[in-house]
Amino acid sequence: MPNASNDDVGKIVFEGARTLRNAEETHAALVSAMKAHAALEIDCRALDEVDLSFVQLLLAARKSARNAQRILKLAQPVSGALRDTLHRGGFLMTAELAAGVPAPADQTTDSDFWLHTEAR
Amino acid sequence: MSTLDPAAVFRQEAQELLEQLEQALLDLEHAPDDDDLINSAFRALHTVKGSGAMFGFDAVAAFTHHVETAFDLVRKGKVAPSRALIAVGLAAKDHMRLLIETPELAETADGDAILRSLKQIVGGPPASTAVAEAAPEDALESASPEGTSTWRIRFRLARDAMAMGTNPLLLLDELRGLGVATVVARTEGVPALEEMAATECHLAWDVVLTTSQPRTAIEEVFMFVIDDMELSIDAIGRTSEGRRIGEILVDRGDVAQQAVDAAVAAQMPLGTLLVKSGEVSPDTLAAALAEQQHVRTGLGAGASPSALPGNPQGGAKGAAKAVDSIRVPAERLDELMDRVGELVIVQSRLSQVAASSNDVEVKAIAEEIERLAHELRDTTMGVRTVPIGSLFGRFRRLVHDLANELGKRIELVTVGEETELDKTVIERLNDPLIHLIRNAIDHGLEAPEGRAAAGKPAAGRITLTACHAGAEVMVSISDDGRGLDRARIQSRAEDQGLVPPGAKLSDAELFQLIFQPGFSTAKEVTSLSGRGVGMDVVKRAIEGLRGKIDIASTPGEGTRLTLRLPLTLAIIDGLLVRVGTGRYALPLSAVEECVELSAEEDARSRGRSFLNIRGDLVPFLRLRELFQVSEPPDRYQKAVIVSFGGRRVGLVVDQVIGNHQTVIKSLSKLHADVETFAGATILGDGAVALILDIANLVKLGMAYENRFKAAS
Repeated sequence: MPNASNDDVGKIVFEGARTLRNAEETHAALVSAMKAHAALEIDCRALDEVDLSFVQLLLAARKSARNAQRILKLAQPVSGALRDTLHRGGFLMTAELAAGVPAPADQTTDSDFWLHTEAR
Repeated sequence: MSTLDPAAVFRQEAQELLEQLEQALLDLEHAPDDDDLINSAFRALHTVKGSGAMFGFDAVAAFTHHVETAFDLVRKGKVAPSRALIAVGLAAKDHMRLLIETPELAETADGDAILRSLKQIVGGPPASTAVAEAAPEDALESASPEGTSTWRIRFRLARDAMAMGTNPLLLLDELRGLGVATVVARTEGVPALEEMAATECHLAWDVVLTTSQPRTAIEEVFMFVIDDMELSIDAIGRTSEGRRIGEILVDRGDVAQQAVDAAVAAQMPLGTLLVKSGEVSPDTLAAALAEQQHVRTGLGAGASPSALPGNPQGGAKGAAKAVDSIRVPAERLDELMDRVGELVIVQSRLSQVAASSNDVEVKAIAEEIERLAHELRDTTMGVRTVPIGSLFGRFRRLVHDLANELGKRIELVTVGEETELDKTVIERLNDPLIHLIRNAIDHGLEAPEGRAAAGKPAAGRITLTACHAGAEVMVSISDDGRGLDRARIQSRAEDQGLVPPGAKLSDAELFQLIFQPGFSTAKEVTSLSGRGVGMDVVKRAIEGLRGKIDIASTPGEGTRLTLRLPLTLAIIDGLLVRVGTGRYALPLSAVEECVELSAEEDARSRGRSFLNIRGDLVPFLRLRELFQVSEPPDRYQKAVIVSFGGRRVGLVVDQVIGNHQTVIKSLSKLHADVETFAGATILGDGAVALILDIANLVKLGMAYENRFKAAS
C-alpha cells in the first residue's frame, strides 16, 4: 500500500446507537477519519443499536478504501448488535458457501471483512 | 486447448459415479448397516440424475430418478438394503451406463422391468406400503414436506425507502416467517462513501424461500413498499434439486449460457472460472451458491448460525477437497512423456559430449542436467501412474456375477490396491485379468460339495495381489482351488503333439503349455471357459506389455499366476550391442548374462548352434546372419543370453557396448510387419538404434531348437 505505514493507523470508535437518525453524523465521521489516515481501524464493540444504514455506510467506506488503495478494517470480528443486524440482513455468508467462492487477490468478500477471515 | 464436448465431460463423470455406485452396492452386501455406503450410493445416483438433466441426458435423468427414489427410502431406513435390492441396483447401474454410453442399445423394456422389480422390492416391508402403491414419482414428492414450493425472491427497495421509514430487516423477518428462507444481501450497488447520501438505500436482497404459503402471501410482504421498488418472485421447480451452479446462475440471469459452457469446457471449478473471467462477481456467485445450498439441504443454510466460521462444523471440507486434484486428458500426458523422452535423449548426448571434453564446468552442468532430466522423467512417469485398485475394483462385480451364475460361493481378496502402474498398462491389463479370473473361478475353484469333501471352507477364495519389485510390478491371481492337473495337461499336450510322448517336463515348462493356442483341458464347455481360447490371448497381451507370466500350482491347494510387468512402456533400460557396424538395443530386463563365444567354440558349434551354459544347452542365433552383415566378425564374439517366457536364447553379437537409457519410439506404419524389431531409439550421438523384439527372437530360437530335436 503506497501510503500505509505502521504509525499511521487511525482508530475510530462507535458506541451506543448508530442508526438512520445519526447516519449523517456517522457518514461525516467516517469521511474525515479516512482522509486523516492511510489505514483505519473501526471499533464497533461498544455499539448497542445499529440498523442497515450503518451497515451500508461501512460497506461504502470499504469501497472507498479499496478504490483509494487504503486499508480499512474492523478492530475485531463483528459481535453483538452489529452481528445480529448483519445476520438478519443476510450479510454473513456461511463458511461452506465462502469456500465455494473464489476470492481474487485484489478482492475479498464482504463476509471476510465482517468476520476477519480475509486470510483464508 | 480444444473445447471439450460437455456431454463427454458428463460421460466421464458419470462413469466414475457409476463405479462409485457399484462399489457401494457390492460393499453393502457385506455391510448392510453401513450408512456411509448407503449415502455413497445415494449421492452417486443423485449426481448422475442432476448432471444428466443438465447435460440433456433426459432418459438417464428420468430413469435414475426412480432408482434414487428407492435408495432415498433405504437412506431413510424405510427399506432394508436386501440382496435382492442390491441385485436390482446393479442391474439399474448397468442400464444407466447403457443409457449414457450407447443409448441406441438401451431397451426401454429392460429399464421398465428393472423399475418394476425395484418397486416390488421397495414396496415389500409394511412400513412403506403407502409409498409403494404410489408411482415412484410420488414417492419422492411425499418424502419432501407436504405441499411446499420454493421461490426465488429478488428485490431492491426504492432509494428513499429507508428515509421514508421502511426497515428492510422487518421485511426479511416477515419472509422468514413464511417458511424456511435463505437470505443473501447484495452489496454491489453500494457506492463509495463520498458519493453516497447517508440515508439512501442501495442494498438489494436475494431470498430463497421454501414455504407452504401461496405466492400472494409473499407479495403481501411487499404490499406497502411496492412503489418504486424492483421485485421478482419466481418459482424454482422441483427439478432444480441437485442442479449445478452454472445452471442456477443462468436461470437467475446472472450470466450467459455461453460463458457457462466455456467455463465447463475449461474443466475448473465453474465458480472460480466465472469469477476470474469477470462474468460474475464473488457476491453474485455467493448468492447463487446460497440458493443451491438451500434447495439441496431443504434448509436455509444461510439462516443457520451454526454454519458460520468460528463454529467448527462449518462444512468447507467438501468444497476445498475438490481443488486437490485436477483432471488432465491422457493425450496431454502422452505428449509430455514424449517431450521428456526427447529431453532424456538430448541429455545423454550432452553427457557424451561433456565426457569427452576437458572443460570441468561443462561436465558439472552436464551432470546437473542429467540429474534433473532423470528426476523429471521419474516425476512424469509418476504422473502417468494410477493405483491398480481402480482395476481391481472392477473385478468385484465380475466375481459377484460369476458366483451367482455358477452357484459357487466366492470371496475376493485384494491386496496392494495402492500399487501404482502406468495408466496404459492398467488399461491393457483389464482383459487379460478378466480371462484369468474367470479361469480361476471356473476351472480352479471346486463346486461347494467338492470343497466340503476336500475339507476346505465353503467359500472359494480368489486373491488379487499387486506389489512393486524393482522396476517391475507383480500382479498375481491365486485361488485355493484344486490346482492344475499335471497328468491331464501332459496327456492333452501329447494328444495335440505339443510334446513328445512320455517327455519329462518341469512344472514351469508343463504349465506354460496351457498358453498354447487351442489348448483346453476342460471336460465340458461352459459359457465361461473350456473353448480353448483365452490363455494364449492372455499370454500375447501380457507379452505385448513386455510382461511375463509365471505359474505355480499345488494339487489340491490352488494355483497362482503371477504377471510381471514393466512400470512403464515408454522408457526402458537397454543393453546396447553392436553387430557389424549397426547398433541395437535389448531390453535389459530380458538379459540374463553375457558370455564370450571364442572363435574355437564358434567353429565347434557351427551347424549346431548350441551353447553349453553350466550344463544346459541353450540355442543361439547369430545376429550377423540374421541381419545379413557382410563385414568379417570380431575375433571375440559375445553371446547375450536373453530369456522370455522361461525360454533362453543366446544372441551372438560383435560387441557389448553397455547400458543405455532407451526411449522407445515406435516404428512407422510402413514397418508394422517387421517382427524382429520392437521399435527404435536415438543414441547419444544422434544415431538411430533398433530395439530387438526379444519375444520374436526367442520364438525363432525355439523353432530352431525344435528342428534340431526333430532331426536328431
